[in-house]
Amino acid sequence: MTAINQNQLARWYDAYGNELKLYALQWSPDQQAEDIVQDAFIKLLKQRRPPNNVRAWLFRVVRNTSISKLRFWRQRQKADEKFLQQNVIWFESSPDDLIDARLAQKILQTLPSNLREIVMLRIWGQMSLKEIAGITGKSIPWIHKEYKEALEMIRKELEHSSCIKKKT
Amino acid sequence: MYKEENLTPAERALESALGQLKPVANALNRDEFMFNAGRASVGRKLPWQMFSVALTVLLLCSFLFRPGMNETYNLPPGSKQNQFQIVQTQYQPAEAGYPDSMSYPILRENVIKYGLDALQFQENAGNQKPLINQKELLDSILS
Repeated sequence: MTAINQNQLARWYDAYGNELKLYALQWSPDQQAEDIVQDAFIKLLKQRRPPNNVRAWLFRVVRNTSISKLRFWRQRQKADEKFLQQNVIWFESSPDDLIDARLAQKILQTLPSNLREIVMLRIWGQMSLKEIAGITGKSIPWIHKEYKEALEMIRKELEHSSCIKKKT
Repeated sequence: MYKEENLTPAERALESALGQLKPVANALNRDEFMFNAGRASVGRKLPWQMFSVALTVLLLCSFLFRPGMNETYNLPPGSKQNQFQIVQTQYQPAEAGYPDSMSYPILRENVIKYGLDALQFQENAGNQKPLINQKELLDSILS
């Protein structure tokens, strides 16, 4: 294995950058999330050799950096408020979408942070439960339980929203 | 191994529906990132490392090209000798068994003071004869 070159880095950036930023947006405002993602890639560039699972490594670095920054600022409450108030668009809207992008974002934002993180990693990070367990430091059965719980909450929220739409 | 497929069909459908949503594509500033990456890759050679390398090279050069013990100097043209050598000599202490008065500095001083008679003194030093100079010697012969 050799050191990482810039072409390799650019390929990984194109492949995982957007998902990583979406993941970082859970903890940080827009610009800060971008900085965290960029820092993660710079850290990757400084590795003497690439990690075995680059994608999982990047997600782990983004997670650790985001959480440590939150701890540093001691403003979790304010950050959460900022996070809920921010007008950053998470998903691209498309007429073919089965779920409205704005609605999905709204529902995800209201999920408890631990459940939201697992959904993000599983669906948009395309990670296995084992990889998610490795990143979050939880057991696989626990991750599975929380993932099912999150899906159930999303389903209920979607049903609730569609009921409201029908009534209106 | 935990089975990831342990989801109900409704959960699967919801999962795939959510998976259709694509994160915003231009969420990141790629140019800015590539610039930062380039700067970071250059920044890996830290200034202190370069400084220490320069110091090491200087140290090696000073060892390799330091002035030797014997140096040759060029005299200006027309001088008697074109070249001469400076040979450094070390002070040799008197050999063991000789009295202190036979040591080189003292002998040299005596030669300067009394002339070559001092050398006679050196020869007679082993016999413990009294020191006489040339005048006294002449007087003793004539008398």
